[in-house]
Amino acid sequence: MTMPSLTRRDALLLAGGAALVASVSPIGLIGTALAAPKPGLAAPAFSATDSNGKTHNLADYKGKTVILEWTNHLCPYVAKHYGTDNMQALQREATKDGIVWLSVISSAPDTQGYVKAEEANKLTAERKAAPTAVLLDPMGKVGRTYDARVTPHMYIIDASGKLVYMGGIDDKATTNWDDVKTAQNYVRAALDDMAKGKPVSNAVTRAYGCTVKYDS
Amino acid sequence: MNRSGHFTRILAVFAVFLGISGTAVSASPVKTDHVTAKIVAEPGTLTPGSTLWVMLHLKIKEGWHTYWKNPGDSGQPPEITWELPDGVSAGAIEWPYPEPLPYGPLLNYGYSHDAYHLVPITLASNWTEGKPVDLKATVNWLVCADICVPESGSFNVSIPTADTPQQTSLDAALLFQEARAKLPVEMDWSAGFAKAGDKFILEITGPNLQSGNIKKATFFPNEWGLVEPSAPQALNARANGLSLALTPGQKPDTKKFDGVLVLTEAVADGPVTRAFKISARHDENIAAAAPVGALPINLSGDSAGSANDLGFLTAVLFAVLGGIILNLMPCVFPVLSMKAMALIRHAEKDMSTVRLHGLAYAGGVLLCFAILAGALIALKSGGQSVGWGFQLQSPIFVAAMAYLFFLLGLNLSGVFDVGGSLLGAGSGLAARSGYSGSFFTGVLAAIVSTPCTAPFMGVALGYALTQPAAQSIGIFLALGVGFALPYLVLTFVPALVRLLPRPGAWMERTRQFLAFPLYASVAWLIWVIAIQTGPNGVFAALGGMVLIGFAIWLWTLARGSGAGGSIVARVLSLGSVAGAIALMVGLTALAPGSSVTRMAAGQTANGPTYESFSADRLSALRAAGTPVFINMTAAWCITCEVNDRVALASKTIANRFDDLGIAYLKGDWTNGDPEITALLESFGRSGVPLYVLYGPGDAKPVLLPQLLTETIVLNALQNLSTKSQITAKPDRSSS
Repeated sequence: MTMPSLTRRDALLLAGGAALVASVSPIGLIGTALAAPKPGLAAPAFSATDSNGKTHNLADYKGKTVILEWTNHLCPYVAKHYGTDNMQALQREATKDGIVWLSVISSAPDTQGYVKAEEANKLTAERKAAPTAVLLDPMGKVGRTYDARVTPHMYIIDASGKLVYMGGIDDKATTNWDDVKTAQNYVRAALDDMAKGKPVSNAVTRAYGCTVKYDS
Repeated sequence: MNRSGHFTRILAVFAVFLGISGTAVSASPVKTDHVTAKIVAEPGTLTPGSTLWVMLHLKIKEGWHTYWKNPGDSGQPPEITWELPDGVSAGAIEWPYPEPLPYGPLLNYGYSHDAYHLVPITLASNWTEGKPVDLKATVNWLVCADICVPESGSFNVSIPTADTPQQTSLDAALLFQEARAKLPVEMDWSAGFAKAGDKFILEITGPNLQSGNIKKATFFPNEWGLVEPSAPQALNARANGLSLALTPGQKPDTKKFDGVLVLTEAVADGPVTRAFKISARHDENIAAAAPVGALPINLSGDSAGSANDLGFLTAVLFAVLGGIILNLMPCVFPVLSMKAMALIRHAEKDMSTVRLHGLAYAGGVLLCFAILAGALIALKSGGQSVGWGFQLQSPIFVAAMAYLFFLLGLNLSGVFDVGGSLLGAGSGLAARSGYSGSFFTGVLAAIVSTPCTAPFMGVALGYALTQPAAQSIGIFLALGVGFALPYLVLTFVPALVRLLPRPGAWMERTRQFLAFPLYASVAWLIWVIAIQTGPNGVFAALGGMVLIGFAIWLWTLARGSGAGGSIVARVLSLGSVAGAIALMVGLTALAPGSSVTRMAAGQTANGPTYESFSADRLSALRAAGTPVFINMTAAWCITCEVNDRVALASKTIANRFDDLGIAYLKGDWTNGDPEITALLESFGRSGVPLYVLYGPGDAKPVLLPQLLTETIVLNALQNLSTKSQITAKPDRSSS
């Protein structure tokens, strides 16, 4: 026969072809990005440690409304809401109604807003803040899961685990403390809607503030 | 008069003196930790009933930035609170186009180094004659590096309204020139958007919008929520325009799709960046215009969107997959099916021969793709913006493809038979020479695949063009492998061949059926020609196809008839083919923008009247000592078009040209013109635009910059009149 070398080549080619075809099949997995949180869908799960060493999982709070507040005490926009007692008042109102309020600090070490556990507790006491817990997220895991971009960035999750609000705390994107009085507070409005059993009318708004200082 | 009255009068006189003291009208700068801020008035006079522009200029510390009206993912734009006397009003800020400011995974829109904010100040007509306008402003701004600092400043500006000529301050003039060059302009392009999958497609079309020289395009939305700032924007060329694929933001309000499009075009002496106001309306036809198999062109890699995030291996995989799917495209499927059917006919015979044919076919495919890759890389390194399918921007190529598909369709329809070797569907298969037949079938298949694209392919090729030559060719070869793979697998796996149906009458019917996808491709290519060259082009292409049909008929006659008749027939046939080719080449004359009437003497709306440029006319004018303004432009030069409309099309300019007796010569370099080329070279330029102003007498020519604004032109004319002491008539325009 004239073709022994061809047969070997055949085999190689066939093997190569098969390998290519086999490697092409996992294509379905390529390009899957993390699903960004969207109101109306289930809120992404998270797990984080608070400033007292306790671990919190979203699943723990099934049956309760949860509010996530991204914060950075050195950001002038956050200072506007804490300096006017606006944030603390909201925290008190919410926690009184049995809502779980979690402040989240996603600043990476050595960036603006980064605090260790005891400093976080000191700040809470000084500012007379009233969150249920302060979650320390220096690796930015929770922040990235929720696509938190600025401080303050607010998320409301209802008792069934569905995300119902994400965005800014109010509609005046300034550092001017006077604007707090005249601004429309989106979080309060959303909680009112939920209390009345209505869907939240402004489910997505623009969050304003300083960028979250993620690492890298 | 009592003492305080005297004192007040002295103060008033003193204040007026200060107002016309010849320094630029501005408040003293406010210096903060990161910014030096000042408010400057534009050189000019503020008269009752008119408007004068002032500018808030923020000079920002290195490494810090301020924000655009839509700051992006975070940030806050500056806010001006005016305190104005009665009868004075301030309009909204006009913003120069921003730059993208990345911060980790986020993106802001803003300015670094210098931020300009232009505000129109309007004076009521009943303003007291000579009384200066005292403006007070409080400005808040946010300046950020990796942290943000809110800052503010207070300003007092006094603008004189006395009719004394204000000495122009060079600083203020330069600042305004810089700022105005960056203001978005309106063009008469049409903008539409539609949702396509999970993206917004923004499509811009305009009669002279040839996107071949665009190096970069970015869309900045006016409002938050419409477009995700940090997502890449994939740029695609369209016939007479371009499209951008944008990722929707968190709250896209599809009733208003407004923003600023910033384009960087490669012109004669380097890139020119210009911003355009876009207000897009929803247009469902846009999403439909991007089906698989239609114009797929991706311009040079910088804006290849998500392709940049691909790894090399992923790109290779995508290319292989795309190549496999490409076999199903209407351009390719008929060719491949005929080849497969030839395979069926000879499956009974020697399998190893069949395999060799398969390898020959694959070789042809790979060679063709390698050559294409080489050509694209060579063109790209030569500075052209190219991408897969770039050749489709040339009507000649489109017509050639249309002719080819027409020919193949006629062959499949049975109109003529070229001894079977056209598609390898004949007895040549058994002979050794049949291998070259298979090789060329591979080449043919690769060629006919070029107008089509497949899923995954666009992304892979977009990525390929951003990579160095070796990787680029690798990805193209991967495409070739994918493309050749189905046929190769058929030739190597005997079991599969046995699965193919037995030869029969159905083959002939299938062959005739497969002509129709080819005719459909012809129809689509004629549509492309229609867009590129209009009805005349369509007529020329269709006429060419008639000639080809005629040539084929003559050729078949020639084969059947005797010696003498056959020569005549063959000669006539060749003549027809030559005619078809001539028509095809003639299509370039029909490319838009080169219509014969374009460069007759004319006038852009409101602008000065011009004559067509010629070297003789220029020398004649110069010999007579007439001042001349030369504008060299071309249809495919967007910058030229924008300058024409924005800087050279106003009554003010027309009047100044009249007053100064300037002759305006306009040269159209669209199809090249040796006289224009010579002039360009004499100024050391290799392309357009070129703006030259010759003063009266034998004044030396002055070159104007490639990015023109009305101010630049007016200033140049001003210098002209001052230098030559021509007395200009008083300014006719009052606002």
